[in-house]
Amino acid sequence: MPFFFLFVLVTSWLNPPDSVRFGVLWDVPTDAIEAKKDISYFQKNGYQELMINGIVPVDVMDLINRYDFVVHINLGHSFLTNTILHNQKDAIEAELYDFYYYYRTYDCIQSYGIFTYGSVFDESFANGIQVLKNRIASTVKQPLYYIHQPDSTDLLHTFNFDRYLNYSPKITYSSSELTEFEGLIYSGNAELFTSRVFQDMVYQSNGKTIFIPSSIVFDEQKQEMLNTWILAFLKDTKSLLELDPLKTEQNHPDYLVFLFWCCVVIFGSHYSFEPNYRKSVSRYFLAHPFFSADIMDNRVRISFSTILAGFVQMILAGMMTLLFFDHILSPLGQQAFVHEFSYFDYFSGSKFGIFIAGMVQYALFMSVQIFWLYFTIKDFKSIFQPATLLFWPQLINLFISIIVVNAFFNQVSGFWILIFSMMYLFMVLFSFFFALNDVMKSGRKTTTKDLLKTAVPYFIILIYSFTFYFSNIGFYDMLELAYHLR
Amino acid sequence: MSHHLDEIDIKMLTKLQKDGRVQRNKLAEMVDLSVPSVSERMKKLEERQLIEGYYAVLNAKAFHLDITAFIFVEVDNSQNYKKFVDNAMALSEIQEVHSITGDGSHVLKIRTKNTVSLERLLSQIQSWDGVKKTRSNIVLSSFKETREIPLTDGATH
Repeated sequence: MPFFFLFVLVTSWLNPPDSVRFGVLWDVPTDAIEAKKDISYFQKNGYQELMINGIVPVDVMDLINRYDFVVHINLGHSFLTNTILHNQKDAIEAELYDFYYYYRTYDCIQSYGIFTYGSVFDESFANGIQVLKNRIASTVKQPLYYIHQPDSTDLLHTFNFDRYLNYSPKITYSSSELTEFEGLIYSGNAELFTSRVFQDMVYQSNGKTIFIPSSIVFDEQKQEMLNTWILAFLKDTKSLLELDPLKTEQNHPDYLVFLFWCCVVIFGSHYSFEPNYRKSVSRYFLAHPFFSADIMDNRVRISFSTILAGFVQMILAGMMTLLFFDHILSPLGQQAFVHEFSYFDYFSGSKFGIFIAGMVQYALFMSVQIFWLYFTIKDFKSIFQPATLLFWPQLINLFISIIVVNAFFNQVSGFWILIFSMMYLFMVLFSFFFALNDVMKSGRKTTTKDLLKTAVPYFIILIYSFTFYFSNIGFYDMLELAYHLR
Repeated sequence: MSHHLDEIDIKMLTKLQKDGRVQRNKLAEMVDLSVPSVSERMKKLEERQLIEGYYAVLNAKAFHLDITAFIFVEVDNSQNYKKFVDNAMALSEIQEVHSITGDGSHVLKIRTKNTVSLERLLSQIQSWDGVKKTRSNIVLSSFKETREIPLTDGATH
């Protein structure tokens, strides 16, 4: 009940629309009989507009045309960046012509959608779209539209309930410019689609069409309620529904805390029970020359401690990757990233997948470093010697992680999380140089010539990798788009 | 009619596929035969239609034909196929016409100046009888484009 009053209080700032229109974001069945059933259902329950992706079979299209729906066609390009637009502008234009010539005889087609989520904040992207619009203007007379999330200046944000909505992106189209707000599409999941969300959308729709995905329209648990709500608002736009309690999407990665404590407990208990480990850690930070001499001369054999330290670092790497992704990118942003860099698909885009990806990446990276040092430095008699030299400086990362995890859970500014994440990365990347420094100081057979086989090529690879990523405009475009998708 | 090719024929054809304008004395030198023998063999290969012709390969970019595309066309009734193919053959922008299995009934390879001329071409194709839909795939970059066919000993019979 308190939510109800709160809602009434807040909605009183907004005027109810004079009229309301409903549409379906329709996943068209390929079978004409099934499609006919769907269409009859839409008509019976007050839906007046359809938004469909791609090419629909002729018999289904003929059917839609007969039923007097307004139809919006969508080309189906998702996460369009400036680079992709620039590289594929001719292909997109040709695709538009294909669509246009296929659909041109149907009067019900009202507009063509170019993309869903794109770099609309980027001026050169907007110019690219304008060029495309101008080129097709003489052929495609219908308005064009794109689907995107509302930005901060939009009407939608004046009503601050978007935290539970996973909010409906807007559909915009206009024959003159791509800025006019023309409707809302619900983009969250079925579970979160409550009467509160529905009523909110109606009040914010400003009389424009509200599109509901067909998966929700046909959801057995929602179907009946949804039909009642639609009927209520079609009869009277000032209707007030009995509101469901506030639901928010759970985004508390509790297992991060569990994993973090695993690392702390492993480190802490091993530190307490293993004197050699304790001694070597304190020597590393307080009497460093003795530590490197111990390791290089193979006097202290702490292979189990090294394995354990490597394991802890792997968990930390997985955690930090997950944390970084989760903090910097929204689920939609992560989807955009995976869409462009399909190799992330191997990890299925799930949180656990990202965690495993971080672990595997770290394990591979460290294995290369360990074997590289082991095979190039003659002083090493055991594989655990270079491993120890590499893992010990990274103990600092345990403390950096404490700061990052705390910052994350206390919702500290992203800037500080970014700074500490960079410090973490620095330690992972530069531990190779710290290890080499120990080798140079305490190795008996090691000469400066060995640096040509280790530090120099490693440094070149690092520089090359950084240059590759920093100069890859396509990579940055997608990262920027992913970052903007909230 | 037997079309058996010996090793010399294959050597000549391989060379001719790469360089149709190769001089006959060079060809003769390559296969260790006299010029008249080589000429005789070439004449036979042409008569047997193993060699269909000699063409100049023009640089499309130099002629500002910047767009290459593969257009998958769905022609709805096989009765319209012949007319469709005749129409396609008549257009100089269409370089290849193939009847295919799978998605669509035909695939066309086209070269055209720009997206404006591509739009005109698509509009033309769409106006032909029986054409239901087209799907245009624009070539972004081409790594191999050849009319050469693989030749092995006894390639034809």
